[in-house]
Amino acid sequence: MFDGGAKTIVWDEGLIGPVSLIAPYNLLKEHEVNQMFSLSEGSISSAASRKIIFLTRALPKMMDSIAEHVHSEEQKNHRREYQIIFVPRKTTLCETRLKNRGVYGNVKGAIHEWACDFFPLENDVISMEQPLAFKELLIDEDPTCIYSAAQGLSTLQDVFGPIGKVSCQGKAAKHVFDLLKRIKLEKGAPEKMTGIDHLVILDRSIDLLSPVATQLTYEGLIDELVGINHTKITLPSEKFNNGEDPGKKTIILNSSEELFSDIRDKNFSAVGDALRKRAKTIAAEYEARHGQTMQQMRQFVARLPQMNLIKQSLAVHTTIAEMIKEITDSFPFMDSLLVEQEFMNGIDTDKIHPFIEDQIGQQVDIIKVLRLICIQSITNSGLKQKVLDYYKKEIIHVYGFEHILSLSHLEKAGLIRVQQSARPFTVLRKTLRLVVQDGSESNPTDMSYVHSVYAPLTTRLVQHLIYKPGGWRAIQDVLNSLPGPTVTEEPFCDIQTLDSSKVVVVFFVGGCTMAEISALRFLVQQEEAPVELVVATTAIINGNSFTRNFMEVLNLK
Amino acid sequence: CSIREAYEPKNSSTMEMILNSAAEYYKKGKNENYQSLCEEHARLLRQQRAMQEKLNTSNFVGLSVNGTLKKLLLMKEQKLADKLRQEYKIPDRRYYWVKIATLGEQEDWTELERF
Repeated sequence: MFDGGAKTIVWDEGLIGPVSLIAPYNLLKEHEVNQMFSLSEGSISSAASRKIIFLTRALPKMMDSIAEHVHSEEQKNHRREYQIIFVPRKTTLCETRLKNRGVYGNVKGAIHEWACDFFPLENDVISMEQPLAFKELLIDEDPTCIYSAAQGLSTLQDVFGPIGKVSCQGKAAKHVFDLLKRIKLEKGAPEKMTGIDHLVILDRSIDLLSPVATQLTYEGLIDELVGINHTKITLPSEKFNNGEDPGKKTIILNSSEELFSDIRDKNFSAVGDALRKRAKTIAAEYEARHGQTMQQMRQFVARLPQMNLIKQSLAVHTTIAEMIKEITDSFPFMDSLLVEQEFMNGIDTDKIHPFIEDQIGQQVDIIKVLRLICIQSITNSGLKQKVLDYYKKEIIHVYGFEHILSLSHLEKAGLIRVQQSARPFTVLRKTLRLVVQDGSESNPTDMSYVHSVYAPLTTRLVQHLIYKPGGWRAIQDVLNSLPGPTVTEEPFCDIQTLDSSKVVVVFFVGGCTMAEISALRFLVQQEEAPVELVVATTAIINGNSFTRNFMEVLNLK
Repeated sequence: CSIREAYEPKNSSTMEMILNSAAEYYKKGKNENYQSLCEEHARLLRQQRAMQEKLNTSNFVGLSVNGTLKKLLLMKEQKLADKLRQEYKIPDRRYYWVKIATLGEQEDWTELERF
């Protein structure tokens, strides 16, 4: 679809980030894309080429913008050839919208779909880059993401081979699985013999604590404090070159950088040591060049470019780590983390917490307050009516009445709720060992290091499924106490299992955190049996983005 | 949801009507807590308008309870502030935070010391 002369791409802004993961700008340039515009701003009349490609998601709002662009071009009598590419697929609603706006004729026959459901973030992580999926599912009751997920998993089978067996937990997970079965009926099973041994589908709503708990891995903290967008972060650049050159510096974080892939999954308290060690070895290597033979000298010179690279990335990550340390050492961060960990240990969860009261009184960022209340509610298996009502009143009094909507959304999603008679969380904490006290942060033996005391429930489930004798059948009681139906190791396609290594795909419906990914990586490295792990998710989320999605955006003028 | 509507027109009298209907819906849905929150906010809007007339200033309407309290304290309307504090059952803890913040803003250090 990209051949035939010079062309201009008009972007739906929401796609620029994800698509750049696959096709960076210079690749597009090679395919004679000479100009790019965004749909929402400006006019495309300055475009030099005749061919205009609209790259868009199937949103009615975007159709309106396309129509406007086409109309304004018509008025100016510019002759253009239009093309619309829908990512990942077109909808009848959008086509009708185009018809109604009277531009369907201009683009008829040039509407394409680019069925790209998953974008690769990392060698072992693929994401649909739909951060709103969880909210759409629960609050708007819009199941689009379930359909895309099933389509995406089906495509995954075409590429990597059939799925051997499937386990899932939670309502949305079951829906994805059912849909996947239907697609298989329609399309037939892929014919390859080897493929994915085990697909685990987990619904975000079975574990709401992990996304709101503070992540303490290096990558998780960067995501929480700076925000990682499609593997990129943006920082003020004066931090990096001694105060000169104000502006922004964009840094790409992925495993192609050796140092980063080494420290990304570590608990932040261990990152400083790792960086220092690296710096020492590099310095030692430089020192060793004195008094060498010719041959050794040649080897040294050959290694120089690589060493310079490591030196550079050392400098970058030391700066980032310093910036993060400044925040994590501050009192507000420590205090709130302390309260969080008390809650996880089941201390003071059943009454109005004075720290939260003070935070509200000081009008700190509402996201922080809501996160703490959510953590308290989840760890207490719901709050007493009186406590919940008190928090609600306080928030509305201090932050304004409009937050009544945010609160009712959080309640609908189950993040805050009224206590029922049973206390499932206390049971879960014990049976799944969710809180581990003696976890060492620098040299961990358990995955709970990612939150310093708490092991994400989702990853614990994966651990039980793959490594513990009996799998999920042994913990059937636990699974029954989680919301939604359970499917345990249902055979899906016939495949040959190779003894050498198993491929396991863990798919999170509703997003997962960096800390969860780190915990899964840790799990796979720890155990004896070789397992190749791929994490698939609707989006990478963190406590701030997760909570913010539930806030209602009102046009307050 | 009708609350979303309530924020569209920025006229506080229609807002009150919508709030009341929202409260009505919550009543039907047996959600007493949200019902009382809606009613409370409707009441606040009425009082804010009364305050605007009485103190001859504008922009009370639309503030939160805390915002109203702070503004009253900034204008040194201690009596009205106390009344508000009582009526909305503002906990002492939060009241003190607001009080400290306003005194700080006014740079009234002697008062802050005494407090």
